[in-house]
Amino acid sequence: MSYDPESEIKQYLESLSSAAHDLPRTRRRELVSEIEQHIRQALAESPCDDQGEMIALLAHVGDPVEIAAAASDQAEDGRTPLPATVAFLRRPRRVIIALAALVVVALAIATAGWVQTYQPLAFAPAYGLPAGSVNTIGDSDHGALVG
Amino acid sequence: MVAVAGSLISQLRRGVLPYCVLALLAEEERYGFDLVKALGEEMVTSEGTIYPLLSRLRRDGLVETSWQESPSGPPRRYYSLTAAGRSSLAAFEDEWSRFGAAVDHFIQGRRT
Repeated sequence: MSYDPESEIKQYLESLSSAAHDLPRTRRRELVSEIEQHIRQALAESPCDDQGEMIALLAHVGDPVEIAAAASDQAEDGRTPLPATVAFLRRPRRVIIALAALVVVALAIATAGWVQTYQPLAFAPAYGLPAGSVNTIGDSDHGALVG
Repeated sequence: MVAVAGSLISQLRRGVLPYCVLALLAEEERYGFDLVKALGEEMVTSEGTIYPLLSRLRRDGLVETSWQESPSGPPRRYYSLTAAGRSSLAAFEDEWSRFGAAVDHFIQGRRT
């Protein structure tokens, strides 16, 4: 296979972009373009004649996942972080989990209401004993033993 | 033990790197690639991570940027210190000289 520096660079930038998918789009584009310029400056300074040299150069630039992680760390430290609700809604999986939880809670409330309305016998033991009967029995037993 | 020392160094580096960047920019304005070379491999292990840091310093108003033509290749984004950046650097220099002296006191005290 022939060595194509452009395809190596393109592949690297694509993996950086996908690793940085959490960032707002403008920040992500800016990051990718800065890294691309950095790579081009490094290449201008020391051209890579073969794939091995190119891989070494990109290794110096760093692991795309590490760079993307640094970018989201710095984004959190920034002055204008995303509002919590917006940050939350940016993650579809969390939204689905929250909706599922909401459905479960709603079903539980509906079931409890239905049982209370149509199945009063379900609570029969609680209504069955006269109020204060437990105390009364206890007191009289106790009184008999002591007396 | 080696792993612990490695993660300690990377934490220390992460803490001081922003101020080393500010200190370099206090001397003269620089573009990203130039800054990475000046910081050297002891301070920057993964060159690309300097850009998110520069981006935050800019958002925090400690540095400002300007695009300038380059003698070769595309225009470069130069970074320079703002007044807020200078006072942040001065505050760190103050803290660091006290903290560094305290650490040296124990390390050197043990050696003698």
